[in-house]
Amino acid sequence: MNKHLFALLTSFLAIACSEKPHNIQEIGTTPEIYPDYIGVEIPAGIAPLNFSMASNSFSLVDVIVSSADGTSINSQGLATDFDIDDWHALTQKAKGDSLKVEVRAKIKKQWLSFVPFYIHVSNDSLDAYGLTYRRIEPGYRVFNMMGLYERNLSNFDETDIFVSSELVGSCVNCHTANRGSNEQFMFHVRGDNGGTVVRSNGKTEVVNTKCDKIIGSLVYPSWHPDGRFVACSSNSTRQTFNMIKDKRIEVLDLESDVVVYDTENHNIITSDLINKTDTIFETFPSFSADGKKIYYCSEDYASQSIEVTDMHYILCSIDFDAETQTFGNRIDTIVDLRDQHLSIALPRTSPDGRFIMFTACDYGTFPIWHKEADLWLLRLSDNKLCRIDNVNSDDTESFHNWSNNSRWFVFSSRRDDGLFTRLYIAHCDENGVCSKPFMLPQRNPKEYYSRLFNSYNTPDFATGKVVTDQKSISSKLSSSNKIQVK
Amino acid sequence: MNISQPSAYKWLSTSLFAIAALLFWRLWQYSLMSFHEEFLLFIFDKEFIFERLFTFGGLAIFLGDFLTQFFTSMWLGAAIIALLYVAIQQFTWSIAKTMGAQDRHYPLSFLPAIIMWLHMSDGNVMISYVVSVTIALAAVAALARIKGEKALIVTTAIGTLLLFVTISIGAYLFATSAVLIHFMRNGNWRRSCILLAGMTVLTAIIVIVTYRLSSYELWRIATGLYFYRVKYFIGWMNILVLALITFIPFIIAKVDMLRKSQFSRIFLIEMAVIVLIAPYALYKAYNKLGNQLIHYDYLVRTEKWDKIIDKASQHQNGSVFEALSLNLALAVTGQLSDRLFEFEQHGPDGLIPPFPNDNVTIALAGEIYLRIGMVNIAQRTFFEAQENIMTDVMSGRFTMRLAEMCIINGDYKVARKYINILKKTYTYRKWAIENEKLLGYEDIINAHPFYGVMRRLRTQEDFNYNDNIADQIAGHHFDQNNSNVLALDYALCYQILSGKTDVFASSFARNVKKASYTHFPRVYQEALAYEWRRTHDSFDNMPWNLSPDVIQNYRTFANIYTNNKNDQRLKNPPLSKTVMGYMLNH
Repeated sequence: MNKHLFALLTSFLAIACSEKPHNIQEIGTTPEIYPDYIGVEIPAGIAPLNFSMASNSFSLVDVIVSSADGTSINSQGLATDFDIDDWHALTQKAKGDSLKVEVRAKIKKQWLSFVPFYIHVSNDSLDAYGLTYRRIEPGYRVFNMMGLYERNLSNFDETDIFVSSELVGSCVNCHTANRGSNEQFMFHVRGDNGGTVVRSNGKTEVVNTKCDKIIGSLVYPSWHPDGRFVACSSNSTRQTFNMIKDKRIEVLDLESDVVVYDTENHNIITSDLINKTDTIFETFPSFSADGKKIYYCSEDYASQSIEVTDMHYILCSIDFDAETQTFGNRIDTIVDLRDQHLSIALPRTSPDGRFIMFTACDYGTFPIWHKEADLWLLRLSDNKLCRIDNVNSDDTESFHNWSNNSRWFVFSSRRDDGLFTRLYIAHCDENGVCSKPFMLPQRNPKEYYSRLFNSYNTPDFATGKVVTDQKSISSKLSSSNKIQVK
Repeated sequence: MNISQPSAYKWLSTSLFAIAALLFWRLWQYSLMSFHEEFLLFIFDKEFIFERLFTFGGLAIFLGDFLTQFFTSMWLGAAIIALLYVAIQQFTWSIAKTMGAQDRHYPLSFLPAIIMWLHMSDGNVMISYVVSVTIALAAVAALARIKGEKALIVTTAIGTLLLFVTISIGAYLFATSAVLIHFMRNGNWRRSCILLAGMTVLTAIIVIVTYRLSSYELWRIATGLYFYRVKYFIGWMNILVLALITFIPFIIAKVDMLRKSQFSRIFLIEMAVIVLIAPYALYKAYNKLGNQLIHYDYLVRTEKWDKIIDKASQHQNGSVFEALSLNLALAVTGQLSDRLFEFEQHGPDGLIPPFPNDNVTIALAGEIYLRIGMVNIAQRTFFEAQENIMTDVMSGRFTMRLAEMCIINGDYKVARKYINILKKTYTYRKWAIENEKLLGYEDIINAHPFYGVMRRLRTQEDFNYNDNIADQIAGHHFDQNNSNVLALDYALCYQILSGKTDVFASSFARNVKKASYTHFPRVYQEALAYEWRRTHDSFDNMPWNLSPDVIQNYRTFANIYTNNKNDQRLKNPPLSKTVMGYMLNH
């Protein structure tokens, strides 16, 4: 309510204070804007791509965005603030085509006009209501305020899914939904009042997943498409802290296994091939699109020293039969980048079954603090593998997820300032050709991101508004009556 | 001024009370005042202001934050607190007077302010709480002037609702006072009980509705959100103090029912009792360990190293926090290797702490890491300290430190982010503008007296830090830069305090020539003597030229110990204040 009132007031003020550009000097280049939306590809109906001039020296920016049929919208201010409905209408008209963006900006009483740039509007819909993610301050041990949030992608509204502020010293881990479902998801809460929150079939359960069969809690979940099973890894981890600039923290596994959790019977399904008695670390499971395979990363620690810099994970797969609830009896190596001294993490299969996207970094299993970490794409039809160069940056690219129609993916990157991860969305066509990504839009991105001292974690698309009752979940977490996994 | 007039007495006593409070905070408890500001960054922008104002109890929270930002200015901060006390006293008197109090009982109107003053000895009591109580008293003072019963009831209901939203638990004071006013006016206890029941139901509904609409726990809504710094503790004392302050104005109004007497005599007796008891109570309340630690925190923050050493020299409170502060002060002033054992020690954890959980100790740990040259670890520590603030605000101190860490590491984009925020503040704006000018200018930063030095002290070689190898890491910093004698002192003293005198002896032998000691540090001499004699029968052939005094001390100690290891001389200075004494007693 207050936000809307404030927006209304500022809109009136903006109209009252607008200025018609005059004595314009032509500049022969495209403008430097923040965020860099020049040449990006967007879905129709996305929230307005507002921006400012990158330099703070500009006092005004005046922008006209037009579609090929001549329809245009205009915004002027320190940052653009396009009307959401007008923007949506314009992007719908420009579907499959481009929006032309003409920028004029004022610096020291002089108006400059830049070479127009284009924003391509994809024919592919986003197929999502919004994004879910965790926002976290860059602490490693002390947790006061940490939360899972959902962002409506057609506007700028952010709502809480679960915020840990009322639970003593709790750390809220990844929210993972089944194909972006707002009704079927799980997340884990660490701390004294810890537990794994599983919502499925209209029920929210808090489960104690620690049991003799597994090493620790269930993390890095991936839902089976049928919604009954969740592949997870169970890890014993250690944090170490780096001493030099550009490196901060390494998290390494001392043990890890991949298991499957049955949400109906509350039991763990394991395999002798990948259980905790073996000499191989297994982590980051991801069900294949048809649910018949689990892709995961593995590292044979028996053959190497335990130095983290020597740990190079490869991408493997193992069959899983949901009917018999059994694993296959063979492990296949899918991608091995050890000859390039790269370690694979976070594989994610696209829901259409065409691709696996993963992160590769120099070593280890915690790419988020590796500046060299990049996204890679494997096309399963012909095993064509490539680093996604027009998506990657000089800084970290890490966690990622696909939209339900497999044409968009969201990922986290530190490219904005080198410290705080921000979210980016990019298009991927059916051949695996990816577009230049765009930063998650905000009403005033420059102001918003400069004031946000949180990092975004574990982003995923959501098909609707996530259903949670925080009070009920907190109460279940605080209770000693949690469902014990067998 | 005619001193025989009640108004003159009142004016004079209130003025003296204000001056006493002003001097108390400015001259004695300035560090506690600074502690409030340390965990706040009041940002003059719409996001911050809207966020605080539109929180439950937001007006009190916002005003509390607004006032707290000035607490770095000692006189201004002390004046603000003194004025809050005066406001509490004046509103108390206004209520009491309206309800029929006689001027002779004016001294009793100081009681709520004194109770608040005593309560504020707990540094976790937020200024927003004081503001909430003050506004509530002001509202009651206005309410007491309403004459008609219906008008009183309607105003009470609306006022309770409005106050609960704007100042949170201060509304309890208002609602209870309204019932007391009603009872004292009408003398009809049945009707007053109905009003009490009505106000209780209304308040309960407001609390429950607020709870349902918010993400907070019920008890946090019921006891106020940001009125106590540690959010996991229920602020029962806040509620108790609120209750006391609620009833006092009405007791003052009715105290003449007990005994009537002459103005000046009663006034002077009451005033004398307050003047005699209050200072003692305040001294006892404020002179506690927690506040002593806060004082050390202040001295470290303001880099008053000599004052830390002086304070510890006069009296040691026996806490690890004190040892950490003191040892840092000794190290920074180059005295650690000579005077370490002149003071009570708490093992290696009193020198370089394992990762602490409270954010005052986290901040102190950050200061220690930073001065050793562990810039990344210090940065991490200030991140953690920032995250650990439970009132959902940033800290000016930590934000400034984080900006500095980014400048040292050359992360100018992030540094600019912090600086942009600091530019929007009263306290840190000047610093932010000055430091913004440095961003990107490598030569200037390299030559800067702080940033340049820190860039040379930090390590260029990566390795993994953990608390168990703090001495090795400090030693490594010295290896990389032999001018970093502070790091070597930390490493060597850590080994001695850990009882690893063999490790110390070899570290010392390896590094002493590289370090630019102007003399043979006393602590190291004692440790070498101890280690040598631990492994040899005599001092013969010892490779170190120890001072005769150190050798004599060792012999004296050894002789006494051989005769009677429980001899009190070993446990008392001067022998207890040696490496041998430390080893015996730990």
